[in-house]
Amino acid sequence: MSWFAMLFRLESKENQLDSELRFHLEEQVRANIRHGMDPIEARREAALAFGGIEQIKEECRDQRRGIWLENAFQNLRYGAKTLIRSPGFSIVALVTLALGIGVNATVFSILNRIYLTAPPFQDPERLVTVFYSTQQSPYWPLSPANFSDIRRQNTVFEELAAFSSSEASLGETGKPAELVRAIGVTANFFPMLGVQPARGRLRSSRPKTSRRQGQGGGGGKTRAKTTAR
Amino acid sequence: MGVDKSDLLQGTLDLLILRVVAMGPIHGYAISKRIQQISRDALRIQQGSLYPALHRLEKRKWLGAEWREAETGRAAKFYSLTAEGRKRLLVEHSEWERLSAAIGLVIQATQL
Repeated sequence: MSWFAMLFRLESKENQLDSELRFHLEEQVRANIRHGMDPIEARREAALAFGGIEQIKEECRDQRRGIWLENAFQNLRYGAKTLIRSPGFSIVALVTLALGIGVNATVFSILNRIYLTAPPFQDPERLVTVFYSTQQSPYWPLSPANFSDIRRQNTVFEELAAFSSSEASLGETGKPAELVRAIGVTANFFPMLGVQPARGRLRSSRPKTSRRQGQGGGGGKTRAKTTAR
Repeated sequence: MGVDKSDLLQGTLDLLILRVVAMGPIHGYAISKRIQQISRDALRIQQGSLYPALHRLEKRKWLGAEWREAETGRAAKFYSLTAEGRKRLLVEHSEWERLSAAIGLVIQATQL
Protein backbone atom coordinates (compact mmCIF):
# COMPACT_ATOMS: atom_id res chain seq x y z
CA MET A 1 0.00 0.00 0.00
CA SER A 2 1.46 3.32 -1.05
CA TRP A 3 1.91 6.01 1.56
CA PHE A 4 -0.79 7.96 -0.18
CA ALA A 5 -3.27 5.21 0.50
CA MET A 6 -2.30 5.07 4.15
CA LEU A 7 -2.53 8.81 4.52
CA PHE A 8 -5.97 8.98 3.01
CA ARG A 9 -7.30 6.11 5.00
CA LEU A 10 -6.91 8.33 8.03
CA GLU A 11 -8.79 11.16 6.36
CA SER A 12 -12.47 11.25 7.07
CA LYS A 13 -14.91 10.23 4.37
CA GLU A 14 -15.87 13.88 4.09
CA ASN A 15 -12.33 15.06 3.44
CA GLN A 16 -11.85 12.25 0.95
CA LEU A 17 -14.92 13.30 -1.00
CA ASP A 18 -13.74 16.89 -1.01
CA SER A 19 -10.23 15.95 -2.14
CA GLU A 20 -11.59 13.73 -4.87
CA LEU A 21 -13.73 16.46 -6.39
CA ARG A 22 -11.05 19.11 -6.05
CA PHE A 23 -8.57 16.87 -7.82
CA HIS A 24 -10.95 16.69 -10.78
CA LEU A 25 -11.31 20.45 -10.78
CA GLU A 26 -7.57 21.00 -10.70
CA GLU A 27 -7.04 18.58 -13.57
CA GLN A 28 -9.63 20.45 -15.59
CA VAL A 29 -7.85 23.74 -14.86
CA ARG A 30 -4.56 22.23 -16.03
CA ALA A 31 -6.19 20.96 -19.20
CA ASN A 32 -7.64 24.39 -19.88
CA ILE A 33 -4.24 26.01 -19.42
CA ARG A 34 -2.71 23.46 -21.79
CA HIS A 35 -5.33 24.48 -24.34
CA GLY A 36 -4.12 28.04 -24.17
CA MET A 37 -6.37 29.72 -21.61
CA ASP A 38 -4.74 32.01 -19.10
CA PRO A 39 -4.77 30.70 -15.52
CA ILE A 40 -7.58 32.91 -14.25
CA GLU A 41 -9.80 32.15 -17.23
CA ALA A 42 -8.90 28.49 -16.96
CA ARG A 43 -10.01 28.32 -13.35
CA ARG A 44 -13.18 30.23 -13.98
CA GLU A 45 -14.18 28.06 -16.90
CA ALA A 46 -13.40 24.88 -15.01
CA ALA A 47 -15.41 25.99 -11.98
CA LEU A 48 -18.36 26.87 -14.20
CA ALA A 49 -18.26 23.55 -15.99
CA PHE A 50 -17.97 21.74 -12.71
CA GLY A 51 -21.16 23.07 -11.20
CA GLY A 52 -21.91 23.32 -7.49
CA ILE A 53 -19.32 21.30 -5.62
CA GLU A 54 -21.41 21.18 -2.47
CA GLN A 55 -24.44 19.91 -4.34
CA ILE A 56 -22.41 17.19 -5.96
CA LYS A 57 -21.05 16.18 -2.57
CA GLU A 58 -24.58 16.04 -1.18
CA GLU A 59 -25.70 13.93 -4.10
CA CYS A 60 -22.81 11.52 -3.52
CA ARG A 61 -23.75 11.22 0.15
CA ASP A 62 -27.37 10.58 -0.80
CA GLN A 63 -26.36 7.82 -3.16
CA ARG A 64 -24.29 6.13 -0.48
CA ARG A 65 -27.06 6.41 2.08
CA GLY A 66 -29.59 5.10 -0.39
CA ILE A 67 -27.59 1.95 -0.99
CA TRP A 68 -27.01 1.51 2.72
CA LEU A 69 -30.76 1.63 3.32
CA GLU A 70 -31.40 -0.78 0.51
CA ASN A 71 -28.93 -3.24 2.00
CA ALA A 72 -30.45 -2.84 5.45
CA PHE A 73 -33.94 -3.63 4.14
CA GLN A 74 -32.68 -6.59 2.18
CA ASN A 75 -31.02 -7.95 5.29
CA LEU A 76 -34.21 -7.45 7.29
CA ARG A 77 -36.30 -9.26 4.69
CA TYR A 78 -33.82 -12.10 4.53
CA GLY A 79 -33.78 -12.34 8.30
CA ALA A 80 -37.57 -12.40 8.43
CA LYS A 81 -37.76 -15.16 5.82
CA THR A 82 -35.24 -17.24 7.73
CA LEU A 83 -37.19 -16.85 10.95
CA ILE A 84 -40.48 -17.77 9.30
CA ARG A 85 -38.91 -20.91 7.90
CA SER A 86 -38.13 -22.24 11.39
CA PRO A 87 -41.10 -21.14 13.50
CA GLY A 88 -40.19 -23.26 16.52
CA PHE A 89 -36.83 -21.59 16.92
CA SER A 90 -38.30 -18.17 16.26
CA ILE A 91 -40.97 -18.56 18.93
CA VAL A 92 -38.45 -19.68 21.52
CA ALA A 93 -36.15 -16.79 20.63
CA LEU A 94 -38.98 -14.27 20.76
CA VAL A 95 -40.28 -15.51 24.12
CA THR A 96 -36.77 -15.44 25.56
CA LEU A 97 -36.26 -11.89 24.31
CA ALA A 98 -39.63 -10.79 25.61
CA LEU A 99 -38.97 -12.24 29.05
CA GLY A 100 -35.50 -10.77 29.18
CA ILE A 101 -36.62 -7.33 28.11
CA GLY A 102 -39.61 -7.45 30.42
CA VAL A 103 -37.52 -8.40 33.44
CA ASN A 104 -34.95 -5.75 32.64
CA ALA A 105 -37.56 -3.06 32.20
CA THR A 106 -39.22 -3.95 35.49
CA VAL A 107 -35.99 -4.06 37.46
CA PHE A 108 -34.85 -0.82 35.94
CA SER A 109 -38.08 0.99 36.65
CA ILE A 110 -37.98 -0.13 40.25
CA LEU A 111 -34.37 0.91 40.73
CA ASN A 112 -35.08 4.08 38.86
CA ARG A 113 -37.76 5.01 41.36
CA ILE A 114 -35.68 4.07 44.34
CA TYR A 115 -32.19 5.19 43.44
CA LEU A 116 -32.04 7.25 40.35
CA THR A 117 -34.86 9.75 40.60
CA ALA A 118 -34.90 12.27 43.36
CA PRO A 119 -37.55 11.70 46.01
CA PRO A 120 -40.47 14.06 45.61
CA PHE A 121 -39.52 16.10 48.64
CA GLN A 122 -37.97 19.46 49.05
CA ASP A 123 -34.17 19.30 49.23
CA PRO A 124 -33.86 15.52 49.39
CA GLU A 125 -30.08 15.75 49.83
CA ARG A 126 -30.61 17.40 53.18
CA LEU A 127 -32.91 14.67 54.43
CA VAL A 128 -31.52 12.01 56.77
CA THR A 129 -32.97 9.20 58.79
CA VAL A 130 -31.96 9.20 62.43
CA PHE A 131 -32.13 6.07 64.56
CA TYR A 132 -32.17 5.82 68.29
CA SER A 133 -29.50 3.28 69.11
CA THR A 134 -28.95 1.51 72.37
CA GLN A 135 -26.77 -1.31 73.56
CA GLN A 136 -29.53 -3.77 72.73
CA SER A 137 -30.09 -2.57 69.18
CA PRO A 138 -29.03 0.16 66.81
CA TYR A 139 -32.66 0.61 65.81
CA TRP A 140 -34.33 0.86 69.19
CA PRO A 141 -37.94 2.00 69.15
CA LEU A 142 -38.39 5.61 70.10
CA SER A 143 -41.06 6.62 72.58
CA PRO A 144 -43.06 9.77 71.94
CA ALA A 145 -41.82 11.39 75.11
CA ASN A 146 -38.19 10.74 74.23
CA PHE A 147 -38.79 12.08 70.77
CA SER A 148 -40.18 15.32 72.20
CA ASP A 149 -37.13 15.73 74.38
CA ILE A 150 -34.72 15.03 71.58
CA ARG A 151 -36.52 17.44 69.33
CA ARG A 152 -36.55 20.18 71.88
CA GLN A 153 -32.91 19.80 72.75
CA ASN A 154 -31.66 19.28 69.21
CA THR A 155 -29.06 21.67 67.89
CA VAL A 156 -27.96 19.69 64.85
CA PHE A 157 -31.00 19.43 62.62
CA GLU A 158 -33.24 22.09 61.23
CA GLU A 159 -36.30 20.00 62.01
CA LEU A 160 -37.05 16.57 63.37
CA ALA A 161 -40.14 14.54 62.54
CA ALA A 162 -40.97 11.00 63.58
CA PHE A 163 -42.87 8.22 61.87
CA SER A 164 -43.98 4.74 62.74
CA SER A 165 -45.75 1.81 61.11
CA SER A 166 -49.40 1.67 61.70
CA GLU A 167 -52.63 0.32 60.32
CA ALA A 168 -55.70 2.06 59.10
CA SER A 169 -59.10 0.94 58.10
CA LEU A 170 -60.41 2.64 55.02
CA GLY A 171 -64.09 2.58 54.36
CA GLU A 172 -66.40 3.97 51.76
CA THR A 173 -70.10 4.17 52.41
CA GLY A 174 -71.73 1.06 51.11
CA LYS A 175 -68.52 -0.96 50.92
CA PRO A 176 -66.84 -3.07 53.56
CA ALA A 177 -63.88 -1.44 55.26
CA GLU A 178 -60.39 -2.37 54.15
CA LEU A 179 -57.43 -2.74 56.40
CA VAL A 180 -54.44 -0.98 54.93
CA ARG A 181 -50.90 -0.35 56.02
CA ALA A 182 -50.28 3.19 57.08
CA ILE A 183 -47.48 5.31 58.45
CA GLY A 184 -48.17 7.46 61.45
CA VAL A 185 -46.26 10.71 61.38
CA THR A 186 -45.76 13.71 63.60
CA ALA A 187 -47.58 16.89 62.76
CA ASN A 188 -44.50 18.55 61.27
CA PHE A 189 -43.76 15.67 58.91
CA PHE A 190 -45.47 16.97 55.77
CA PRO A 191 -44.47 20.59 56.22
CA MET A 192 -40.89 19.49 56.82
CA LEU A 193 -40.83 17.57 53.57
CA GLY A 194 -42.58 20.39 51.79
CA VAL A 195 -45.32 18.18 50.38
CA GLN A 196 -49.07 18.37 50.37
CA PRO A 197 -51.35 15.42 51.05
CA ALA A 198 -52.83 13.76 47.99
CA ARG A 199 -56.31 14.19 49.42
CA GLY A 200 -57.63 16.50 52.04
CA ARG A 201 -55.77 19.09 54.05
CA LEU A 202 -53.31 19.06 56.87
CA ARG A 203 -54.45 20.08 60.28
CA SER A 204 -52.67 23.15 61.49
CA SER A 205 -49.73 21.73 63.35
CA ARG A 206 -48.64 21.88 66.89
CA PRO A 207 -45.48 20.04 67.84
CA LYS A 208 -47.07 17.07 69.51
CA THR A 209 -47.20 13.47 68.47
CA SER A 210 -50.45 12.92 66.64
CA ARG A 211 -51.58 10.94 63.68
CA ARG A 212 -52.10 12.59 60.34
CA GLN A 213 -54.82 11.59 57.99
CA GLY A 214 -56.62 13.12 55.12
CA GLN A 215 -59.72 14.90 56.24
CA GLY A 216 -62.85 14.48 54.25
CA GLY A 217 -62.35 13.18 50.79
CA GLY A 218 -61.82 14.06 47.20
CA GLY A 219 -64.49 12.21 45.30
CA GLY A 220 -66.58 9.93 47.45
CA LYS A 221 -66.95 9.96 51.15
CA THR A 222 -63.79 8.51 52.50
CA ARG A 223 -63.21 8.20 56.18
CA ALA A 224 -60.07 6.93 57.73
CA LYS A 225 -59.73 5.58 61.23
CA THR A 226 -56.35 4.80 62.59
CA THR A 227 -55.11 2.70 65.37
CA ALA A 228 -52.02 3.92 67.16
CA ARG A 229 -49.33 1.49 68.08
CA MET B 1 -41.28 -4.94 -16.89
CA GLY B 2 -41.28 -1.30 -15.96
CA VAL B 3 -38.25 0.80 -16.72
CA ASP B 4 -38.55 4.53 -16.16
CA LYS B 5 -36.38 7.26 -17.59
CA SER B 6 -34.09 7.68 -14.58
CA ASP B 7 -33.46 3.92 -14.41
CA LEU B 8 -32.55 3.90 -18.10
CA LEU B 9 -30.12 6.76 -17.75
CA GLN B 10 -28.65 5.37 -14.56
CA GLY B 11 -28.22 1.92 -16.07
CA THR B 12 -26.55 3.34 -19.15
CA LEU B 13 -24.19 5.50 -17.14
CA ASP B 14 -23.30 2.53 -14.94
CA LEU B 15 -22.55 0.51 -18.05
CA LEU B 16 -20.26 3.19 -19.45
CA ILE B 17 -18.39 3.59 -16.17
CA LEU B 18 -18.00 -0.14 -15.58
CA ARG B 19 -16.77 -0.66 -19.12
CA VAL B 20 -14.14 2.06 -18.81
CA VAL B 21 -12.96 0.93 -15.38
CA ALA B 22 -12.70 -2.63 -16.70
CA MET B 23 -9.70 -1.44 -18.70
CA GLY B 24 -7.75 -0.80 -15.51
CA PRO B 25 -7.63 1.31 -12.33
CA ILE B 26 -8.56 4.87 -13.16
CA HIS B 27 -9.61 8.08 -11.40
CA GLY B 28 -12.80 10.07 -11.96
CA TYR B 29 -11.33 12.78 -14.16
CA ALA B 30 -9.71 10.24 -16.45
CA ILE B 31 -12.99 8.29 -16.67
CA SER B 32 -14.88 11.32 -17.98
CA LYS B 33 -12.05 12.16 -20.40
CA ARG B 34 -11.83 8.57 -21.63
CA ILE B 35 -15.58 8.37 -22.31
CA GLN B 36 -15.44 11.68 -24.13
CA GLN B 37 -12.47 10.53 -26.17
CA ILE B 38 -13.75 7.09 -27.11
CA SER B 39 -17.19 8.42 -28.04
CA ARG B 40 -15.48 11.04 -30.19
CA ASP B 41 -16.79 13.87 -28.06
CA ALA B 42 -20.38 12.69 -28.35
CA LEU B 43 -20.71 11.70 -24.72
CA ARG B 44 -19.77 14.23 -22.08
CA ILE B 45 -20.53 13.12 -18.54
CA GLN B 46 -21.15 15.93 -16.10
CA GLN B 47 -19.37 15.78 -12.75
CA GLY B 48 -22.77 16.09 -11.15
CA SER B 49 -23.73 12.74 -12.67
CA LEU B 50 -20.36 11.04 -12.68
CA TYR B 51 -19.36 11.25 -9.04
CA PRO B 52 -22.69 10.25 -7.49
CA ALA B 53 -22.64 7.27 -9.87
CA LEU B 54 -19.07 6.37 -8.89
CA HIS B 55 -19.97 6.51 -5.22
CA ARG B 56 -23.09 4.45 -5.76
CA LEU B 57 -21.16 1.79 -7.65
CA GLU B 58 -18.50 1.78 -4.95
CA LYS B 59 -21.09 1.38 -2.21
CA ARG B 60 -22.61 -1.52 -4.13
CA LYS B 61 -19.17 -3.12 -4.13
CA TRP B 62 -19.04 -3.26 -7.94
CA LEU B 63 -16.14 -0.82 -7.82
CA GLY B 64 -13.25 -0.83 -5.41
CA ALA B 65 -11.36 2.35 -4.61
CA GLU B 66 -7.82 3.19 -3.57
CA TRP B 67 -5.93 6.42 -3.10
CA ARG B 68 -2.82 6.51 -5.24
CA GLU B 69 -0.36 8.93 -6.71
CA ALA B 70 -1.70 10.22 -10.01
CA GLU B 71 0.44 10.96 -13.09
CA THR B 72 0.55 14.58 -12.05
CA GLY B 73 2.08 13.66 -8.69
CA ARG B 74 -0.95 14.50 -6.60
CA ALA B 75 -3.12 12.06 -4.71
CA ALA B 76 -6.20 10.77 -6.48
CA LYS B 77 -8.88 8.17 -5.81
CA PHE B 78 -8.48 5.31 -8.26
CA TYR B 79 -11.44 3.04 -9.01
CA SER B 80 -11.14 -0.57 -10.11
CA LEU B 81 -13.57 -3.32 -11.04
CA THR B 82 -14.37 -5.96 -8.43
CA ALA B 83 -15.33 -9.54 -9.25
CA GLU B 84 -18.94 -8.60 -8.53
CA GLY B 85 -18.47 -5.59 -10.77
CA ARG B 86 -17.29 -7.77 -13.61
CA LYS B 87 -20.44 -9.87 -13.35
CA ARG B 88 -22.55 -6.75 -13.20
CA LEU B 89 -20.87 -5.42 -16.34
CA LEU B 90 -21.96 -8.53 -18.25
CA VAL B 91 -25.52 -8.13 -16.93
CA GLU B 92 -25.67 -4.44 -17.84
CA HIS B 93 -24.24 -5.17 -21.25
CA SER B 94 -26.87 -7.77 -22.10
CA GLU B 95 -29.59 -5.50 -20.70
CA TRP B 96 -28.35 -2.76 -22.96
CA GLU B 97 -28.40 -5.04 -26.01
CA ARG B 98 -31.93 -6.10 -25.17
CA LEU B 99 -33.04 -2.53 -24.72
CA SER B 100 -31.52 -1.17 -27.92
CA ALA B 101 -33.01 -4.11 -29.85
CA ALA B 102 -36.41 -3.24 -28.38
CA ILE B 103 -36.03 0.43 -29.23
CA GLY B 104 -34.93 -0.53 -32.72
CA LEU B 105 -38.11 -2.57 -33.17
CA VAL B 106 -40.31 0.33 -32.15
CA ILE B 107 -38.52 2.76 -34.44
CA GLN B 108 -38.78 0.42 -37.40
CA ALA B 109 -42.44 -0.26 -36.66
CA THR B 110 -43.39 3.41 -36.70
CA GLN B 111 -41.71 3.79 -40.06
CA LEU B 112 -43.98 1.23 -41.63
